[in-house]
Amino acid sequence: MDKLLPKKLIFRFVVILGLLTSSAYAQKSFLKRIEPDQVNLQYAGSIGYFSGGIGYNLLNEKATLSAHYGYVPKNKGGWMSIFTAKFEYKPFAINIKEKIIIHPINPVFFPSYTSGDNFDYQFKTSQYKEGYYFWSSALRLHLGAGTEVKIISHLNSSLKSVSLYAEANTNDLYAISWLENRTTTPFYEMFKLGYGVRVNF
Amino acid sequence: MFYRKICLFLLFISFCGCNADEYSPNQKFNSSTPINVNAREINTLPSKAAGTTIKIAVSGDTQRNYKESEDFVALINSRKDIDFVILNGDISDFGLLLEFNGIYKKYDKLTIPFISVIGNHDLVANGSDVYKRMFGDLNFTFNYAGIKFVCHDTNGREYDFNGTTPNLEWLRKNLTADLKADRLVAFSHVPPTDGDFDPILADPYQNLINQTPGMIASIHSHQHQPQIIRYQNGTGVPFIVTNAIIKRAFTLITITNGQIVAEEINF
Repeated sequence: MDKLLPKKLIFRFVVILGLLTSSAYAQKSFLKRIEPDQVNLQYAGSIGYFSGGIGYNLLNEKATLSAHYGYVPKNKGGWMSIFTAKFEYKPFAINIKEKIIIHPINPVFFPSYTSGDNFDYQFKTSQYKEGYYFWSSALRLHLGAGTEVKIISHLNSSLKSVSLYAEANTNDLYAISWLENRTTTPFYEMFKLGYGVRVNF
Repeated sequence: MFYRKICLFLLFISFCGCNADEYSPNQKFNSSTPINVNAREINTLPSKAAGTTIKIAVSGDTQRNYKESEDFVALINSRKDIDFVILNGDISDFGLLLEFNGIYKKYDKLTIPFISVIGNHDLVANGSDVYKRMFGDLNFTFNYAGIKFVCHDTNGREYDFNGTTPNLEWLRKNLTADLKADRLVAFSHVPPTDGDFDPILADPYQNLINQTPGMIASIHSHQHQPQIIRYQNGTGVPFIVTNAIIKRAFTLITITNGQIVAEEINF
């Protein structure tokens, strides 16, 4: 019996260690899984004076899905808080000596939600009969295109690359207005600009 | 070929770049938004003797019809007999800065002053704040040729018919003749007989207009219908409802010695 005791202890120790490491490993892989592939800071672009977000690569880095929070201060035409989800597709990549990748045109779609007393997802049915105002004041659907220059890091760090981008977008209401005013309003006038930097891990 | 396309796109983006940075479609102003346009326009009204004939072109509801607005401005500029223009509410459709700015740019080409009144669409989202900064107060008055013009907010539904709009207390104070102006004309967007006018205020409002000494007319828009003239009980002060710019129509108001003639003109 006594001879078995150390073996039992070793067995128990190994099991506990195994459990600990596997749970730690599981935790690490879970964290790894939810860890964003990129963080982003943007100026303007209809989703805030400044906005910050995190994003994930999809479709073998040919697309990204990201979430953003932006704000407009009072002295810039606010105050407003804006929540945005962006889907960006990157169909073209021009590789320059493995140092720079240019994505010349990335189509982008993003719904944005403005919070606050002046904004509702739907106009109140108690106040207006159905269809009185057909749109949502809080939710805008934006469509646009960006252009991105990605500088690849060759340092042995977790930072893979840094991107600079410019993005032009329009939204559902601007598009409706433009469609009805095609003869007087130039096409480009419904597009608004934003600029940003993205750090890819 | 591909690179040329990229260059063209970059050129397109930088072309857009002229004042195209936008923080939100709902922002209340940007760096190029004009301020207090109504006060500026009122200041440019020439002085005219009381009792002389004046002509005012009144219509509302430009909303997002830039072509019709452009044609209206061209027509008014081609005539030399009109004193000023009243844009009687619904400058915008979605209450967005882009729309206010678009209409402002068209109306700013008028060679005579234009004064803008608040409409229900202008109060949607941040529209009220856009209007206040760009044009000024929602309720205001000005004098011209011995007549006091009382412009005010009657868009009751936008305040959920809470009894505040139109502001009768403000109206009682301001619907008064003064030394320089012993006659009055009221301008507001929603007529008191419309479903969008606060129902509990409809009668007191019409009574007040009718009981105001020197009152010539109360002029409204909103309904996008051919011009109509109504009286509260068949007599008294006329409530004139104009057609709309989006229907390519305006009402030409002619006032001589307190006598008013309203004629719809289509363009």
